[in-house]
Amino acid sequence: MAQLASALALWTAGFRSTLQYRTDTFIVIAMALAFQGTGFAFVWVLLSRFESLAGWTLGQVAFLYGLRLIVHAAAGVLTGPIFSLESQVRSGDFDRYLLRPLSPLVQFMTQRVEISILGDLLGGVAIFAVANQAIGLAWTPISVLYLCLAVLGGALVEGSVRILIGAATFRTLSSQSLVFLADSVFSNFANYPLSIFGTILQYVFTFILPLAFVAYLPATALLDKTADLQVSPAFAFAAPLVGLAWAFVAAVVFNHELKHYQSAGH
Amino acid sequence: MVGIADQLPAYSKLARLELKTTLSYRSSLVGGLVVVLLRIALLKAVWTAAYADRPSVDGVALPDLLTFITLANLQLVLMRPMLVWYIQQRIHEGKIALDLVRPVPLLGQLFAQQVGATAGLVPLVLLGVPLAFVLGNLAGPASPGATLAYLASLALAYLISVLIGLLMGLVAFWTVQSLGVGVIYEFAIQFFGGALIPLMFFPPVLRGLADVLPFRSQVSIPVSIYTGAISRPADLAGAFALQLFWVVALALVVGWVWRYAQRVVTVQGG
Repeated sequence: MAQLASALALWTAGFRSTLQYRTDTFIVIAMALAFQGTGFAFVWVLLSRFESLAGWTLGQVAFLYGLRLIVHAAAGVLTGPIFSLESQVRSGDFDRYLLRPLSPLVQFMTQRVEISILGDLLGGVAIFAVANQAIGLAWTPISVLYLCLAVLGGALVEGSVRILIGAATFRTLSSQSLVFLADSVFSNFANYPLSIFGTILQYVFTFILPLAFVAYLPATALLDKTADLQVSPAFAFAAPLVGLAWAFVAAVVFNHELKHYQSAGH
Repeated sequence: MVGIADQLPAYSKLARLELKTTLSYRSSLVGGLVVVLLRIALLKAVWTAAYADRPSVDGVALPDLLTFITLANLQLVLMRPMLVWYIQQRIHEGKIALDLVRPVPLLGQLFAQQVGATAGLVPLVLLGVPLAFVLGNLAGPASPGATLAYLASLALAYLISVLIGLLMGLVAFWTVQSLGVGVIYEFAIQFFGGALIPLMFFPPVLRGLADVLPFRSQVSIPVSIYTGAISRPADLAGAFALQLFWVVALALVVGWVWRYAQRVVTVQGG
């Protein structure tokens, strides 16, 4: 509990320091919105012309898209600094996390907050809200609770992939391009009903690079589309738990690999 | 007064240096290629699903559409305005002062550097061609004449891209921050250039917007010439005229902005 309080305090400090750079804040949010806006404009124009995508209407794809963005923002809250892990390990700046009485992983991830998550969150909530209106989904207390857990679970899955790739940095001193690549795969492929990618890729995206858990599986559960799935519908309902399992594995692997950290200047 | 001919060796040296710099960052080059190829693969899956079993929509067959999208996205790699990043960095480091006192004009230096950086990307794009063929689709050009017209149109598209790059780079003289503008531009050109959805599928309002923006001249026009969608002499003449219009208009704007930019430049640490 004390660990959690320290983590929260560190995160808040990181967030405040980022907000000091006003022009940057504005531009970075605009950049995130431009990136996500372009992707969504594509979906919107395409589906206005072609009615449906593998049986998903514009409203349903937008629902999935918005959910994915919200989860991406949440993953950014948990693991945003991952993109600077390589440079901090190379320069030896990672030393400082080993000196304080809090998990190095937690200290590293709470050092600062990438402001682009605000752009993702704004875009995601807007798209999700409009989509929800369009398809007129009937929410129950259970489905709202499931949605919250699914967002957290999805963020844990996306964050775990980042941490697992990042863990390689301690031995190889390089991970950044792989982290960017994984991010690019998530940003491109997780926004769509995975049935359009064929059977093999669906299994890959469920068990190897588990981006199905980020938004697609929860969306099939909420939209009552689990009949589309190649895998058992149980996976869709268990999506939040899968996030916890991946996070546990990621933390264990990270802490194990951390022993290979050599600092700089030897 | 030194003529442009006397400055040529300096320009070619600058371009070659920039070419070397680009080639030395191999992992970021490969990373850039992978991102483009992923986008092509994604677009293929999405478009194939959207077409479902229809052989063609609005007279466009799926393989032709995929060729259009694949070529448009590969070609965009060459249009990347690296000089925006370069100018911002020189201003941050205060080295822009050095660039300004060199015996060749700054705009010329930047142009040469952009050409060098693009030359460094050419092998990457060529390497991407067979992969793009597998992940997307690539048919040959519509005719030998179309190949020549495509290359001419591509050259004009490139000129437009460099001029827009210069314009965005000069923004840094006022704000010391132009990176964001450059990133937003890369998304705008993808969408309004027609690299994600060919412009004919746009709804009227967006189509009208795309028609008045320069991005169409950078992406959609050359690719349409390649595929033969623009092939009648009158259409070709219209397409080239529009591209030339943008070259002249942007060159005038860059010249005008440059006159003011020189007075406001901030030299950090100077």
